[in-house]
Amino acid sequence: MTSSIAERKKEEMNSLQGGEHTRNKRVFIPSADVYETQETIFVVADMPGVSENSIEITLEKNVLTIHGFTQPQTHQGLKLVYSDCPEGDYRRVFLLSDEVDREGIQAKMKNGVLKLVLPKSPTARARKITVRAE
Amino acid sequence: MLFQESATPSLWDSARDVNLLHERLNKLFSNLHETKQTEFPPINVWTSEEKCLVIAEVPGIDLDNIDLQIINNILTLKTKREPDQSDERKTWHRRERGCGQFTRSLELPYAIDAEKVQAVISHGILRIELLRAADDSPKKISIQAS
Repeated sequence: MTSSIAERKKEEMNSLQGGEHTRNKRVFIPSADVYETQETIFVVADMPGVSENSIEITLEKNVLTIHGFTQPQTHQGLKLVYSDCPEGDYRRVFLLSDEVDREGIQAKMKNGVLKLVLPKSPTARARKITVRAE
Repeated sequence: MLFQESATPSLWDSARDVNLLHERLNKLFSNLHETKQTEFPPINVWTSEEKCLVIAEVPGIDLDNIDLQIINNILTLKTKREPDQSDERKTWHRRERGCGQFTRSLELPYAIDAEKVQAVISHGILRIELLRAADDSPKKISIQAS
């Protein structure tokens, strides 16, 4: 784990730190991939049922919060007989270091997967120094 | 099955059988635990007498990579999640999303009219609506007084 992106661990949704929840809904931490290349850090999170219109991404100082909202499932006249995926919203918080270029952050949503592109600021990019023979 | 067997007194005769029972119980509970974590895609099933609604969470899976099959009352769902194809060298910090091929079959409570199945996918949620076959519906038999 480098210092570039550190995740706030085990966020308790009902703790005072995370804020008390006013909605009567469960909140899940979406599974995510985090990887970086030379110039960019990528965060890919699975949020089935969340569209580009039902997601909120906020950046406050160095705290990046993704919050996806889902529609409640109700089916008239049908009974839920088996359930692997209880309904609820998604929320996950990441801490960004100064390495990330705040202005250049991009977010894309496709098939229920959020892809965040966090470009590294030019000063933070690893530079390759070529050595010349004298 | 398990409980039927354990109720039979003869099973307790030898230590071997007790061990076997113990093993089976362990397996039963560990399986329960495992399926919760590894089964993909996770599904919800809603039913009534006439129809069945299967909702599966398939984030990041394209329409072309979903294969649905119905044989009698067995619904088989095959999906494939492609790994990220880019050749760029990357350093991984978190890898929680799985990829690969997944198959899941479930037995529905009644025979399905395969012609009338509707499957819709939106925002990573697959919704399959299955109607009960007409010839499988229960028929009410009127009784005449003689």
